[in-house]
Amino acid sequence: MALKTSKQKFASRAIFVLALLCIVGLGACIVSLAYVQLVKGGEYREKAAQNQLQDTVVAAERGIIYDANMTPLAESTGAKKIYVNPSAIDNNNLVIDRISERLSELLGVDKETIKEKCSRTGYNNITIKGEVDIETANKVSEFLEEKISFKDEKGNTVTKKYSYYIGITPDVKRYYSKPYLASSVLGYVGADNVGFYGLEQEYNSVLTGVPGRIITAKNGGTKSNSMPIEYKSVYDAKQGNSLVLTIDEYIQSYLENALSQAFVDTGCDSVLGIIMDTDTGAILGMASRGAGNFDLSDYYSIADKNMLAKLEAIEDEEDRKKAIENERYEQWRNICISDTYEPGSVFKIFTASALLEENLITLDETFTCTGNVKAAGSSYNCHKHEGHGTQNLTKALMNSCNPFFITRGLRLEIPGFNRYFEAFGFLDKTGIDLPGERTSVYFDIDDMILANVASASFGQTFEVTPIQMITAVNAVANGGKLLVPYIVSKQLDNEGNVIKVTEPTVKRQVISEKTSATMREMLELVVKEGTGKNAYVAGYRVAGKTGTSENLNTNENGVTKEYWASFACFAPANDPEITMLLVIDNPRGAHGGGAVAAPVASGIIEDVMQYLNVEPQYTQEELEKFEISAKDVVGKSVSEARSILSADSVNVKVRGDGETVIAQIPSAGQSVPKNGVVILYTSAEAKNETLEMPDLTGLSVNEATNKALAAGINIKISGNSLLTSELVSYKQSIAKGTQVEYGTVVTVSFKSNTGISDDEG
Amino acid sequence: MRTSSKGNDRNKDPLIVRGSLDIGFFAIVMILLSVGIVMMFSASYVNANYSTGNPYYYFKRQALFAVAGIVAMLIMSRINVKIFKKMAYPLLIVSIGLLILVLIFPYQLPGKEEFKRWLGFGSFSFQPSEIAKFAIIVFCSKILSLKNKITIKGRDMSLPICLAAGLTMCGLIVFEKHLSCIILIFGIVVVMMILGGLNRGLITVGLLGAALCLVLIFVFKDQILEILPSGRVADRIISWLDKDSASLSERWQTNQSLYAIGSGGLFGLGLGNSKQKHLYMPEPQNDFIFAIICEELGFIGAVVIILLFAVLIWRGFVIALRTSDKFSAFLVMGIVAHVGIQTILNILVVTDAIPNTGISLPFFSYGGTALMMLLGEMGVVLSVSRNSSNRK
Repeated sequence: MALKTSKQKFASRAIFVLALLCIVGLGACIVSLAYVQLVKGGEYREKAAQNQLQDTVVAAERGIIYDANMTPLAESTGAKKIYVNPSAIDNNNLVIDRISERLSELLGVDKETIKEKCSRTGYNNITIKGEVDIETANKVSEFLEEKISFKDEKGNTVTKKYSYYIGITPDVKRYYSKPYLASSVLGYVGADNVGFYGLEQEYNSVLTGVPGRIITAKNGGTKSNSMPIEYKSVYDAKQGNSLVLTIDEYIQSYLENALSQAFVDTGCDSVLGIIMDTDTGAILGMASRGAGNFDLSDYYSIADKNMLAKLEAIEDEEDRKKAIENERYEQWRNICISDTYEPGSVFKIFTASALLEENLITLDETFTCTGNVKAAGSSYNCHKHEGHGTQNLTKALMNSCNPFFITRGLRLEIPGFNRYFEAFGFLDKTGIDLPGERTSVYFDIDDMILANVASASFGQTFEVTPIQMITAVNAVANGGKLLVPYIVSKQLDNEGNVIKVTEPTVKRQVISEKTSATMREMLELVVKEGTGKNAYVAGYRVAGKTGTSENLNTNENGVTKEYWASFACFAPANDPEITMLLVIDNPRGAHGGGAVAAPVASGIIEDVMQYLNVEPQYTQEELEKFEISAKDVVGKSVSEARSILSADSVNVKVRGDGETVIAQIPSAGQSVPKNGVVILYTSAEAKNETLEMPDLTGLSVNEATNKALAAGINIKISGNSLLTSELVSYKQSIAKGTQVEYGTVVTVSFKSNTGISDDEG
Repeated sequence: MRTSSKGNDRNKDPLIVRGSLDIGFFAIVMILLSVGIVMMFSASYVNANYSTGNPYYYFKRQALFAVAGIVAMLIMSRINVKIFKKMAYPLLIVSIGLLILVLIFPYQLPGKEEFKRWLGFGSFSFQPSEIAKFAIIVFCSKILSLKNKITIKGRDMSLPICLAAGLTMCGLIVFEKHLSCIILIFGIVVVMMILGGLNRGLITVGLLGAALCLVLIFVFKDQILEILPSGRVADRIISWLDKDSASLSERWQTNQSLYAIGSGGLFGLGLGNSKQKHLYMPEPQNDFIFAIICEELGFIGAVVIILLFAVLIWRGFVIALRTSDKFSAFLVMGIVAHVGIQTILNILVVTDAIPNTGISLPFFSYGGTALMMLLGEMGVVLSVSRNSSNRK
């Protein structure tokens, strides 16, 4: 070392410094850079993106649900979503307080909840409330224009608009024009645009659409300028597809109104009804009361106010909460497809069909019912203890005679019976496009004994779903074709183009057209003169079958006997347009299908058939009882008028002392029942006179007619008018005691209480 | 104190030097300058647009100073560096005078009123510390070239004199609150002293001491955080030590820098495609321009630029070793060491390896006078390169 020249020493020092700078110094730079850029790069990249990108979700408008006439039942309207940007708030307590106070006022959201959301620093988009209507959103945007001032850390006064902290984005809200109509069929839309129950659930993916996103690169400035356009990606929201239902708003309303009335009248636990297009299997109406019915626009609340009062009366809080929660599920559940019931005598339709199809019975063959029969090692009673006497198949159906069907049903034997049971679709789900469908509760087929067939052949000891039942009845009505019921006829895209059409699907031919025709005739007689007579509607040739079955309900009070009253029908019998099923669970008082279900059916059928413009086919005897239209006698003398009207066998009642008729009720052209009354007014004062509506219930047809005529009002008879001798009135359209004009037409409903029983023995 | 000079040398030294300059060094300067201006434009135009409404604002000014700087560099390259040897003492005295003056009559730059760093008249302003950096290099070069000629009781005093001059400057700059400049000047003085023959034992002790300090800082991080007073410098150290809990505003610039670098990855987003320059990174054209470079050019591009600096330093040392004149050699090495240390400190700050001290990146960061000074210094190096080429 000592030998080194000073120049060499200098050079070595220079190289040392060079190494220090280039290798140690710049080397450290490269290492440090590699750590930040390559090792931790991903983490920083993500944070940078979080900073730079503003991701806004634009809700897709959910598709519309239309009824068969393109009336929207459920549609999405524009709404707004209000969110806060906690990162911008940066835990400024003054800002948080002001925001939570004002937003709480405007939106009705809990103040503490807003405070908590505002303090989630690190997020820049937290939703305070979605589905905010436009009017409220406008108030919020007014508020956003207001300013707030505060001192920052350095003591400088900062003034910001509230829009720096709060934002509004588009959102959608489900709107229902008739919030109670077909509620359990439609289902509801919960948070985040997800459908629950019904069509909203079944077709969720179709209806949802694709939410849009706007991803913008925002800059770091506070002027809310975004970066140049190349950093902006817009994914348009795609509106969901719409559904066109087979359900017709009017038919659905007729059904629901009738069910509501029946729910009150019978005091039952629940009542359900389904109406099907006989030829296609399309569901025209489906509803229930007592379960499966709620307010679509307020789905979380208990819709049945009586039930709610009852539940709120429960003292124990835990129990009350639980009961309310259960009731909530109960009101959402579509019991038409999710519950089973024992069909009872309605099932005799299928036993009869199978026997005819298999040629195991002739129409002439007779059997004498003694009220009791021994078969397959057991003894069975008929509901008519004294026996129905000697009957052929038609009569046995009309009487709903149990021994007849037990003995004849056994001819099918176990495999034959099961073959038809399965062929009519009772072992499978029908495949209706609704969620939550269940199937029947039936025997284990491998372990069946003949006694099972004996009881099953008149509809006992097993349970089916209402949708299975109506689909099977429909097959008998339409010429033997078992169809797949469906509720959505078309799917439309957002421009209204049809993108999918549901074609009726025939699962199988269960019975021949001939057997079907025979069954139609026989079932028409059941309604005309048999146990279904209360479902008769003049001109519409209703065919059907009643059913009454026991439901042994075990509860804390021990075993109580409850009933299912049901009625399955179709009309017109010669060429059915609609098929209908009504099931009433646990009616109070009268409990037979013929007594409580059939009268409900007649009202619905009359409404629906008129609505569908089905041409009435009146028989001669029906025509004789038909109404006539009142002739115009105003301006004529009283005697002249009297002779004109009595020519049409219409009675006349004169009010006032004048010579000339100055007004008449019913007026010219309005219908008057044959043997009805036309009031002729001869003085102006008399016109203002009213009378008190008499009580017309509990009377025979003649008694009611005479009482009405005597009082000076017209009576319209509703019910099976072919059988006036056994009819008793049970309902009048205008309550007794109401002040009415003379000549007013009151509709009085009659029903028969004789020969309609098909109770289980 | 006893000085001596060779009178006959003085007559031989013409004011203008002839001979060809070192093309390698000139090329590397021009490459760094061009890349620097392009990147400065890319980094600055968003900020320029928002703050002045003219996206070319910083670019235009920087380009003008660059042109002026190139002219100054070429003129400088013709001037014999011996002139600085003669001016070494006055230069030191003037620059110390300016460092005192700036504390008395600071020019208040808008937005930076708290710092007494600028002197100015009208729209012209400059930092006396820029001159001080050059003055200390010149002064040390002269003192070291006179090694063994300034003695007290037979002991060579060149190294203590350099240290004393450096510490005097640093002491004055403390009042400017200009931490980076203090570190830089101290670093330059240390490098000069090493070149001047600082005892190896001391160098080793110094390096080990520095390493030990770093280790201690990390080991006793929590204790240090507790005793550190509040204040601007302390806050920066706190925010560097305690990355997670430091307030967002204190670490804002550093975090944005890391996000930018991380976003770049290996290959970068492409020239002009930085997102962080969109008002996330405050003043992206200044001290943190390297982060934007990393974001746009990626790790590979950044390493290439670091290597360009390495080549510049290497080439500078080659020029220094070729010259026979000691003063020239010290001067050239001092100048390139200055560029090297500044670059290293800047990149370490940008990558959060050391606290944010506010140090610019030579050739890249925006700043007209600084760029002109830098190019002038490069001219000095080139002038020496002519001298040494003459000798061959």
